[in-house]
Amino acid sequence: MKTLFEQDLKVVNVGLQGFADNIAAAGGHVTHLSWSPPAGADAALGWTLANMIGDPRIENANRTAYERYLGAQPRLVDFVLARDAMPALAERRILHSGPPIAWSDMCGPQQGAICGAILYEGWAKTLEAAEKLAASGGVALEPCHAHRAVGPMAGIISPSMPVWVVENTAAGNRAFCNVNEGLGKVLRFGANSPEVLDRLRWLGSEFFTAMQVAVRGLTDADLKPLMAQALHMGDELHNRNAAASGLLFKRLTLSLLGSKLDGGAIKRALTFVAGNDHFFLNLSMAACKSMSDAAHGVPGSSMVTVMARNGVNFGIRLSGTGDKWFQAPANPVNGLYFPGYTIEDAAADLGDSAITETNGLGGFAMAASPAIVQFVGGTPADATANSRRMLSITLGSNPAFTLPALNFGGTPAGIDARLVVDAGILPIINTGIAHKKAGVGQIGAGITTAPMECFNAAIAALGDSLHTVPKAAR
Amino acid sequence: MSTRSRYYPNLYKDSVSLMTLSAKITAVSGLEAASVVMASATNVENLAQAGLGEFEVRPNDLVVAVSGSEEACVEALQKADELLTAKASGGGEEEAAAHAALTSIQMAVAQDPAHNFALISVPGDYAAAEAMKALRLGMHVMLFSDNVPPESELALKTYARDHDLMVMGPDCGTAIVNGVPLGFANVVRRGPIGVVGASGTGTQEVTVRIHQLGGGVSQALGTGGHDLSELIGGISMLYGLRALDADPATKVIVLVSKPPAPDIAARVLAIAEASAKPVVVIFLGGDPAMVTRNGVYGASYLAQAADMAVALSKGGEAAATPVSIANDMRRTLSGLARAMAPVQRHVRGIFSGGTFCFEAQLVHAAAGIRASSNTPTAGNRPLEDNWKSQENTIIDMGDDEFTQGRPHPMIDPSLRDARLRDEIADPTTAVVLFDVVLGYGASDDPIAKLLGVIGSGKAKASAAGRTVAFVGYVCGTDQDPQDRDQIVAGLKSAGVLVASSNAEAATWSAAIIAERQGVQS
Amino acid sequence: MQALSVGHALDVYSAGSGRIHSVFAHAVNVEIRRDMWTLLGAERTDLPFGIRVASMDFISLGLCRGNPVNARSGFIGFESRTARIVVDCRAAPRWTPAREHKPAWGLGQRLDLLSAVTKPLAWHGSIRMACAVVSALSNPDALDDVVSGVVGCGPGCTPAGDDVLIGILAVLGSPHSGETGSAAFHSLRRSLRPLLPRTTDISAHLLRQAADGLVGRAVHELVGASIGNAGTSALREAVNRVVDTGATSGADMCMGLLASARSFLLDHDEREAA
Repeated sequence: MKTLFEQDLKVVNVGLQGFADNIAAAGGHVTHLSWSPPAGADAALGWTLANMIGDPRIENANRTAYERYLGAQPRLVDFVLARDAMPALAERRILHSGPPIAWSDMCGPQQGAICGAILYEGWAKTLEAAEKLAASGGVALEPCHAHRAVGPMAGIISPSMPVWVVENTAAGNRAFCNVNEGLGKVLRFGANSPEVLDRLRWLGSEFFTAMQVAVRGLTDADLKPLMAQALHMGDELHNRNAAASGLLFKRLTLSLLGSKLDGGAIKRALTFVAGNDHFFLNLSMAACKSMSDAAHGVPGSSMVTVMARNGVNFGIRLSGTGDKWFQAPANPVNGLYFPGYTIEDAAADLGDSAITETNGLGGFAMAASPAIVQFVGGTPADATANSRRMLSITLGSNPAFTLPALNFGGTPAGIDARLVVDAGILPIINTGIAHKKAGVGQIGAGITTAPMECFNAAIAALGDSLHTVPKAAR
Repeated sequence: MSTRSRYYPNLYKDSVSLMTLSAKITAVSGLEAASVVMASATNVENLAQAGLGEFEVRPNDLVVAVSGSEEACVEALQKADELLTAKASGGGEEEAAAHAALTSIQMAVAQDPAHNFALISVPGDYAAAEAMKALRLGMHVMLFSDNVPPESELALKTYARDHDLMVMGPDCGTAIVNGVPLGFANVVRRGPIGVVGASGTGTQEVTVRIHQLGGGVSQALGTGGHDLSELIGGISMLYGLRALDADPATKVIVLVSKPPAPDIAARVLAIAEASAKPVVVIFLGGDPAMVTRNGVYGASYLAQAADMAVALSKGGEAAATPVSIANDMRRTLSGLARAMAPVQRHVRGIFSGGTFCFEAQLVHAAAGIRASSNTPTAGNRPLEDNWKSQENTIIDMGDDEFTQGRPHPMIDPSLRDARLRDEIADPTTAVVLFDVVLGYGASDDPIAKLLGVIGSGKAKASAAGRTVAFVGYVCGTDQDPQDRDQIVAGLKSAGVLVASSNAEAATWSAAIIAERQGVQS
Repeated sequence: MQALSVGHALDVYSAGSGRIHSVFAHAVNVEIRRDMWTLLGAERTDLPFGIRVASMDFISLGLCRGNPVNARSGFIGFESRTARIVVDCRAAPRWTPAREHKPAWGLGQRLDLLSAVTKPLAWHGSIRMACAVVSALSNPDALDDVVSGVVGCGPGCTPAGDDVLIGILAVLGSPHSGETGSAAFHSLRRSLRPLLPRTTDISAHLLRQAADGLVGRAVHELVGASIGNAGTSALREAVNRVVDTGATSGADMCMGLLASARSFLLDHDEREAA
């Protein structure tokens, strides 16, 4: 206390405002909090949380996890069929976005997409047969995340689909993601018409061959610097990918032009890439997956390594709690709908693309790409404020991804579940909104948040695993 | 009669805001009852029992429930809605404010790592968690909140001790650290006397008196009311004592508490004795002789502790002089006693400070006068109904029963004023004894209604042939936000005998009662 | 702002307050809790009590000597008259020196290369001081006198003599200096301690740290590169990083390093060669 007597008293007032006013009136320094009970007003969970703040085991574990995340160097190393990347897909298995969910509980777009994939694989000849097969359990349905993969929207990956292979060269771990089909009637929004299947077949054959050559011939395959550059060009790498798609297009083109492939095939492949401003999204996701996978699996760490949605539930994982999912119903999306659509038409939040926010991009990098705030009636200043606010719930900021609007400070990265629950600030996600009926497509865009219940459950589990609560005995 | 309600998901308001809202809504005419509460399990159950409806809500939701005429209910709910959803001047400003709002102690530290102290006054269920976070972030803590589970208090204080930090509280209402008044505290000159107190108002009287005698206070640290229990073992008292012992700016130390358990008292006194600095100890209600030893001086009442500390700080002797009544005051008191009607025999002590209530009982008991109380000292009786005095009654209006869903009497004296009115009207009342507490946290105008209550009460009593004696103690300094001189003058002109200490006020009261009851003192 | 890396000796989680001691364009020294911490631009290499942040001009931030500094639970706040700068160190990577280096043949040649590069850059009196101290290490009676003639001697914010001593301590503190090296380390440390008030504040702190076995990353890695089998280019890089420190500081350190390495490490190598 000796040191306290020698310092200026600087008080944090937690509770009644009158006390803060009095301290200020008496000439003291005081900061008043806008406080409300954390952890959903669950006092026992709040006490567990309190004992996890400043716990050296958790701080050390977080530092290890965060360091691995910062040091990750995602590189695009290959483009192969899913079954060759993930041994589990040698069997009849289809991967989907978000946490585990039974077929009967799945939302429309995800069911539609799975049926489409079944037809694509040739496991059934008609839509009805495909549905029956899926409902009967004849095809294993598992989260992409269970196999180090990610997929946007319905996030469907089946054995014959080509996937990007991104490797974290610092640690050797790999992550996979499917190819972005474009906008409109596509599998990831649940469409499974012959036109969709035809496109998938082309992607799995001619496009696959061309792109594999392109990837294997890349002279510059490091994704982090490309993403960092795109952040300075108006992308946030979840909802805005145009700049990154353009930068990637340059590299792929040069690689293809240096190859011996048929000119027609090259042209068709590149035309496809050029026509899709969100082409890079799937690479952004794979890169992010490889970065947060590097941080995953550190016992005692409260760092969030997965955020994903399946159109019904939102699920998260922490580095220190292994494969456990912490789920809750997804929060509504605050946004604008395209003409003719309303909130009644909307599917719940869907897709693994929140892996970008998990890594400090997307909604966390909103300062780089303010356009989306217009969907919620905001200004560019609000976008910057949103990014800044996320700093309160992360372990730090990533110096590799700087944002000009934050004075070239790094984007907030490494969500600490303890801080989310303590501050009552939810991770913010920039997202598109899908129609709840399979196959209609995107009907709007906006901003949503991860549900607090996920973080409450995660903290409870981490606290249990560390036996943090002190006993009453002396 | 109708019952109507509305709930607001995830909207938190603190207890003061809830009470203010409640008061504003109740003002709607035609309304029988109104309740604005957070939807904790207890509150929801209470609402159901009071017939105000059943709710499917979560604890962080806010519920407004009203009953009365249909129109009144609708109007009341409308009013509540306006007050709860009131926006700041512009949408943009509010957004910016929301973005910048600090919602956790960690965020405050991240903004400025110089924050070294947390003052916590959230509901008891959440207070321990906030305190633990503050400690783990390297800050000292003052826990104003009460109803904190004892095991949590022990866990907090154990952690604090292991990390060279102090927890002041739970249930700590008063502190002055580095000259800054915290909680309910008075503006007091800086000086060489350090205080560690387990009682808020006890600390207030001691620090106020030190100032009035021309002395000064280096630090006034609180320990909370349960620190000296067997379970806690005086962790904070010992820490505070050691801290003041090591503080170069402190030359004399004062410890204020009720008597601790013997082994804990022994530990405290051993540390006090080992200190090179003189230590004045008042274990209120205990025998000062048990305390006195080498360099440790036992006091028997609060003002005496202050007197002794000031004397010691000037290098003089610490004489434990008892309260004596000057001759002319003795004549005044006697005169009042003789002017009373035969049936007037009882003292009615109505206190806002718990320790003042306690000390007053001790002073009366020492004069052979037993009383009933809601917080009886040894030998006194509990009241059958705390809202109704019986014979000699000395009560603490700051105790839980009177403060459920209501502000403390130091903040809002209306309940105290109402009780005083009842006491003056009671024909058996001889003396009305009360305290007026000033300083930060206390009401801006503590005697606004009181003078009127005294004036009209006196007039009615007079008309009925009774003379009632009024004795008061004003706990405040000339530097406090309220105007102490004006308050004392106002009381005196209303015929109140204003004493210079709580013990003196109780002594005057006891003298009158002794005469009225023919008791030999 | 975000810390890029933090030195291993720095406990960012325990609370403390102090003041800015000195401000340079690329470094800010802070006296806090009896230690000296240094805020460094990214281009500088790690120090045991260093906090590395993005490259910037610290002077233009408005920080001045005497400004209060507060550390609490991983955040360090610097308060100037006009602004507050808070450095977030919570999860920043900690620089920890590699424990041991594998000794390799050819120590002699590596030391020769080191000498060729650094001798021309050192202060002219440094070699003499280095040799004097190293010889006195085997003669405890003479050591105190010799050291007292070296501490605080020579030009620079960190006087050349002090830099020489740090270079010597860096080698003697290495596990590869053997028992004789370890004994010499303790003797030197004993002689050094009472003399610290004679030199500049900054240098006194650095000497005390070195005497506690704490040296900066550049010096530590140079010792490692000399002992181990780093190729010529790696060795040159390591030298350059040391030599970049200050005007002659780095080169003076190398004089100390060389003199002690020849006496305490070369024996080792020759024995293995035999």
